Amino acid sequence: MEASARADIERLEDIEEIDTIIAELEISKDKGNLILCVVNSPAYRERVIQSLRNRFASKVIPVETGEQIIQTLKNREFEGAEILIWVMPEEPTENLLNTLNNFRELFYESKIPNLIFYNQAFSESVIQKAPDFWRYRGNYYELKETGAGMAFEMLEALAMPFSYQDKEDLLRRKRINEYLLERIRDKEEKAEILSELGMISYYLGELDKALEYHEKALELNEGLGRKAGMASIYGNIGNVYQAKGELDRALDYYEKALELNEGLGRKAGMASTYGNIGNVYQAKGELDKALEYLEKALKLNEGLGRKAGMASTFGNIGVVYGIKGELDRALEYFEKALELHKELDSKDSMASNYGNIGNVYRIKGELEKALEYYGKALELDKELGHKDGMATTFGNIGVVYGIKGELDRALEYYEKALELNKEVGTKVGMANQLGNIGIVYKNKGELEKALDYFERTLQLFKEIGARIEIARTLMNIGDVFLLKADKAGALKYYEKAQNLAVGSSVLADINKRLIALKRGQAAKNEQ
Amino acid sequence: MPRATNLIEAYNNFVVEPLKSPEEFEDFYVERPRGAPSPIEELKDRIENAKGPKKYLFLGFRGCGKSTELNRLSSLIDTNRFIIISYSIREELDVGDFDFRDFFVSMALKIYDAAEREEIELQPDVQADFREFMMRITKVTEEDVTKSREAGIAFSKFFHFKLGREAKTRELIRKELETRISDLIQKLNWLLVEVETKTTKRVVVIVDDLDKLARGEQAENFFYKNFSLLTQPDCFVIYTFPIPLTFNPYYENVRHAFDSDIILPHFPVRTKEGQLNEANFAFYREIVAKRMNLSLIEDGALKEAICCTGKISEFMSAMRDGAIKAYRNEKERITEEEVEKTLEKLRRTYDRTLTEAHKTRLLDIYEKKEARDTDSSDSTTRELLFSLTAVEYGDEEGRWCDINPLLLPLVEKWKQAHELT
Repeated sequence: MEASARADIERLEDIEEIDTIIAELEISKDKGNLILCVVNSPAYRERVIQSLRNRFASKVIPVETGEQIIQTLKNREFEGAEILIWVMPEEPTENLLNTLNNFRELFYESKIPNLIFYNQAFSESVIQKAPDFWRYRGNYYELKETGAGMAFEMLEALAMPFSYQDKEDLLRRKRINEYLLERIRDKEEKAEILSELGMISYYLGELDKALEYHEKALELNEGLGRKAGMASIYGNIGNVYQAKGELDRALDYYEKALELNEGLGRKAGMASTYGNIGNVYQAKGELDKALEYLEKALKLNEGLGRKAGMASTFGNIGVVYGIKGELDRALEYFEKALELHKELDSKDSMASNYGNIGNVYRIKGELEKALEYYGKALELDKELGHKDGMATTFGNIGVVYGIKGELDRALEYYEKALELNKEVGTKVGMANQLGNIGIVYKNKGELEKALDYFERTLQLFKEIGARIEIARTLMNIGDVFLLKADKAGALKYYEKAQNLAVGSSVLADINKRLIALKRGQAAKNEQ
Repeated sequence: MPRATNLIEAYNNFVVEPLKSPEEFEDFYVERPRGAPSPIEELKDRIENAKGPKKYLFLGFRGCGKSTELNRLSSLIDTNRFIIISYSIREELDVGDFDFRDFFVSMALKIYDAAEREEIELQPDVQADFREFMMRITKVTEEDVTKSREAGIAFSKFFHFKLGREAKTRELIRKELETRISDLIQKLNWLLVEVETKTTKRVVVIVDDLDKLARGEQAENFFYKNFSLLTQPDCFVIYTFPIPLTFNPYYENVRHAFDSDIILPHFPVRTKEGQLNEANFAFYREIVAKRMNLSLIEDGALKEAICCTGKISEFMSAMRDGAIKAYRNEKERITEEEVEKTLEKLRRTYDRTLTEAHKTRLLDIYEKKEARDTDSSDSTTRELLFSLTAVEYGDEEGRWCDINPLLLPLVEKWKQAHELT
């Protein structure tokens, strides 16, 4: 066998060994146990320990003397830990070997699983000079890692909460998690891996795949009775449905998540769910309800000092104020959000905030400033491989060019955005771009084409149930009818739109049109 | 503890701890096979029928079930006629820094403790004399003792704590008793007389884990230089004895000072000639059957685990490892795959710890079925027996030695390496 192939198998064995350690610790919870683990590289050992700490409430004890072991075990100084992780020094001392050999029972009497890490030389000394301790082991493992490579990365995936730097990072974690999924048998770990794969798929815009992973993770968590895990996955599924534009379905899942989080007293989970529910209401056009939930989320996040949560809630509140037409207030929230996201180096959120600020400047008519912010957003989205983010920004840039009268350029951006939205499968994005293209055709005077696009837009927004966007599209259709000199048709659409646009900035636009139309009619009647 | 019906329960039932409680004995104890019966019943009869207090040496290799058998002895002896004081020296003493003077102080404290436990009203002068003696040799004041009593710490516990934990106290005791050890033994015997007279029962002291004093000169100092002291307490005493010391010719001199040396042998799964010993094999199978449903392991896997370990503690570890591996592999039962992986890992580990000298000696033991060091300066065989890479068996064919059966697959590799050099 070639050396590299052998090394791969050894790495694979390591992951299986760690998975077995996890299974062993899990089933010996609240019982004394003594598991020995040989690891030579301190850095690798730290990774292994980190992955275990991620899973179990652990007390890690760097061992110096035998007396320290005796005191800790006899006095039960465990600080609420589920497992004790002992890290032996590089060199075994006579004192330590004697202690291990002569006080081996204490590890069992502790009624807590003990995992002891030491290196190969220490292990050999134990076998020769502390044979009673060696014989008393519950089990032992020898990890083979030499310090780098895939095993290291896989351990990182097991050890670290999900986060990523860029698209490459996302794809790397996807690869690792797919590999881990085949190797890991522990159901709890498997649920975590599936959930992470679900999130990765979500960020990569593979929404159906994301749903598939989350559903599997949910099933495992249900089987294990892990309510906290179930709550997170309900939230994640809600996110996927929201991205797909299925808002009522998203809301159902968020409510399930909220119920579980409330029951468990998980304030951080509650905060995230309130935020998500707020966002759905925003998308549905129920802006006051959206603000109500977002304020609840903000309050909890502030109470918990969760800067990331505060930042995204600031951003979302800004979006609601933007829709309500309170642009300065929106800008104020977006800037608060941006400041925190920069502090947290959260690139994806920075990108969406740049986009939001760009939108405000666009609406305020400061088009160059808007383009500048969209450019910043696009740069980050490309770096992260965020197709949905890129699609949104392309759309926004298209809008600016549309306003500037550069209609072909606008169309070009909208087409790019539509293509990406189709690829990702985001209905809201698709509907927005279809609407934008309709506007360009309307402005170009190609009214039938415009109507066709608006009808498709309307259809999608109806499927989504986005009240305000339906209103906006109806208004756009009304505009086409007006251009076609069909004032009665226009009036019909404006009036339909008016009822739906209540509480949003669109209402003012519709009212302006209705007033103008009615004034025109009145003037005509007077003549 | 119920018999395991799934692999998780099986994992938790295969613990390498000696059996202690009556429930554990009831659920898990398996009678040793006819060819290598437990000597405990006979020892019990000897004690119960003896006219005077006797001293016994109890020998057995690591992991052969000594502590379990001694625990069983405690439960078998008639408590209407005997008071059992059974303890491990590791409970109270520092085995890394151990001396015969510490040992006798500890034994005296254990007897004093038993008197308190049995609520025996000791003669005031005997009691006061012992307490004053203890305070004097440890330089502890009456005030210190009072304070510890007020803190709920019993007299014997207080002194044991100082003896086990404080190097300074041990130093004081050893200095004080340098020339006065007979005083201590006299006081110990007065305590014994008091206990036996007032209860009309005889005292049996069982000292476990003295066989752990196998390193350096510690064990030789204790058993060979001071063996006459070990025979002086006026009660029955069973001393566990380090088997590596029997390799010393001096053992023959010492052995006769005691009333008997009782050996608990490892018994082989295969005969000297390599045939399966059905009765011994059945013993191991029964261990499994008591702890889990046999449907939780394939027959072939069980046979492999028994034949390749053939020692209780190692066998238990292999079963435990096999159970967790099968559980992780989402299997319903332990298969040969898990057992083979477990054994291979252990084999690799042992192979790595052995030096060339060890391997050469193991080959020699394998060929001759005998294990001896060449002279008193040679400790290779003792090291092998100590680490259980070589095993001494006792069966119908008498005493014989072999390498740990786990290592048999390595013999050819070692032979080739040996020939090359």
